[in-house]
Amino acid sequence: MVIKVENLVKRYGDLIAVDHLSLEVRKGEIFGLLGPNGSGKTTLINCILALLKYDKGNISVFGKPMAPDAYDIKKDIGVIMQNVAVFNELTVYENIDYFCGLYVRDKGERKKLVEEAIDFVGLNDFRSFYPKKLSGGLLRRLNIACGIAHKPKLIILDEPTVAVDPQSRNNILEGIVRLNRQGATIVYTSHYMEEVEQICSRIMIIDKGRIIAAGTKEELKSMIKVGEIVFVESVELNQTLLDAIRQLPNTSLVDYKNHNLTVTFTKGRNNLMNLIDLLRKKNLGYGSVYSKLPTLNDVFLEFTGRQLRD
Amino acid sequence: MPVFQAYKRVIKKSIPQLLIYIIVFVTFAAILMSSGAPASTVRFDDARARIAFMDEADSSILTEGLKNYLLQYADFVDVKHDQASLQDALFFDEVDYILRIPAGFTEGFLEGKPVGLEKISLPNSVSSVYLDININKYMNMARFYLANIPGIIQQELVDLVSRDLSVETAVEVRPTAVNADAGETLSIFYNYMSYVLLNLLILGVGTFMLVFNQRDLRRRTLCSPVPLRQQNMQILLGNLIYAVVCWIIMMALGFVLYGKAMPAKQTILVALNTFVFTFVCLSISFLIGSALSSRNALSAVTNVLSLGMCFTSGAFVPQYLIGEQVLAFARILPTYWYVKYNNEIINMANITWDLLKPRLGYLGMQMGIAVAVLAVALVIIKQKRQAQEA
Repeated sequence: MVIKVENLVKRYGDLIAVDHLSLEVRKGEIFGLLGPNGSGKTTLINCILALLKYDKGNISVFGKPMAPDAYDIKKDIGVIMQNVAVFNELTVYENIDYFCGLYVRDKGERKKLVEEAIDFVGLNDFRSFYPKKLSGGLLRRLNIACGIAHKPKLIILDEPTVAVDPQSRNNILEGIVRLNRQGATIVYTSHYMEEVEQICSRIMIIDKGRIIAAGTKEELKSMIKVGEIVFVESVELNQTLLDAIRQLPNTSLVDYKNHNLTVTFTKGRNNLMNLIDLLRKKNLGYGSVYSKLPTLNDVFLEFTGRQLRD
Repeated sequence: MPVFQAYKRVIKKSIPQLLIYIIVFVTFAAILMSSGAPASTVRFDDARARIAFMDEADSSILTEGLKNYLLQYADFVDVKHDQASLQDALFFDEVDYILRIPAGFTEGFLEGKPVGLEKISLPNSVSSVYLDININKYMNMARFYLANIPGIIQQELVDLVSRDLSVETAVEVRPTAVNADAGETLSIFYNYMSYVLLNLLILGVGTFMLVFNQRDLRRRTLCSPVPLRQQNMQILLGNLIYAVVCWIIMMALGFVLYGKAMPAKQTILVALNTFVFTFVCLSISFLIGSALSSRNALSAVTNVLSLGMCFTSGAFVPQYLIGEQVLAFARILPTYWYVKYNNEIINMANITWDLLKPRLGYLGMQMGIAVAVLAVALVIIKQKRQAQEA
């Protein structure tokens, strides 16, 4: 086990930021921590990194208790903070060299590692740039390079793609997968379910400091009733027809707005076919029809009654 | 030592900003030197006056002796003896001094009666004063012999007086102290240095502390395997080296510009004062860098603090021109003790242990303030750290 958190409680006055939370991160996996803003993800990460004192619970990393002075553990951890943490007075190269220097003393080895990190995040053309001259996406890449240059065994990324353009986001996500393939265990926190779904092998959804659900994405989706959501555009329906749709097998929710129909089905067979057969029998014309499988947002919605980005 | 390396790099980036203060200081010193610093005076020359000598006593041996004596110090000018000619001679600056020996002077003098010489001189004339001194000296000496050798004849009296007054003692003028004008220039230079040092230290140390103490950067560094104690030691090392380098630069400037104007003993004592003050600046900078969290605030505080401290303490304006109440307040400021020490040491004619001892107390005051400021800074740092960990 790379990280083991047991029954962690962290309070800020009356507010419980982390509420009796336990988790395990296994070696070699990309562990996703998904939750809306203010759900306690960053607090949990800060506790794991011994940056915050906590009220209750145990945290161990690489099988040893984590503490502010656990330097033998810290040397194998790479951290990419939610806010970009670099020196504005130093160039891209100097920044990476500084952070790498916190872990690697040998100058020659460090130089090699810094070059590799620059290459890895694609900042070769910007090595002599100062952070203020970089775009948001490039700045995030620099933040990542600073965290991974020393080739850590465990990399913790706390919302590394906030305010990043889609191209840079893809670049960052691909990089994380590559790091994982190179042997690093990854803990990735985000409130973007698509990202977590795309790269994480196991996911924990948290809200208000508590675990909502945990497992692989398939396991999470299997925990909810929703099996399929069907959308029918440009269709004319009256109350009688809507009632007929509600009578179809596995129908759980029918929504009709602006001539667009959304039907949520629980798990079952031929849901889409049954709906189309009904529309044909009634001689109703319609535009495009498509079906969507449930997402992690649906999982979150079903467990909390709220959207992930509410 | 990654933190120390980062310190060096951050300071390097601040060099252009820091150079502005040094350039302004050097310019100021150059202006000060060209306008106010006279060449040091080590020579003494007699001043010769132009004198109109009118002996209405018809040349006695005594008055002839006086005339011969005055020849050493004055040039005799012939002027008509009427009132109008004498006034013209004075008005047109042909003579500095008119000496009239009234009729019956010699007889009266030899009999011990209260007789006097009459003189008219240019007002505020240094050479006239000098002549007064010499005439008094001659006549007093003559009166001394007259009173102590009964029956002395005029020739003997004149011989004795002339012999005594011809005795000279060689005097060598040694520059054991700073001359008054150069002293004022040096005081201004070293006092103004306090402003430059404050700015250099606050901007340099404050900038790094501010950068390094940014919450995210600090946290990120805390995630590393470099112990907190080691990080702090590296910052301390950076601060100390930076402070010493600033001091060396300032002292080198002082030496280049005014190296010969001040005796070695005073140079060492002033350097010691500047060194102590550098560490006061360091502790103030450490406090500011620890307490503030924005660059704009740092610039504002730097200006307010350095200007305020230097103005109230007499770094820009001499302390004797500053009001008592202001000076009473300034006593809590290190700049006050720094300036006071400089003024007193630079203008001291002869430095002895007894004179120096109370001045060392001024250094003690500065060090006390430095320790107090440092203690406050450490408390702030501790509180901030606890707040971040909570």
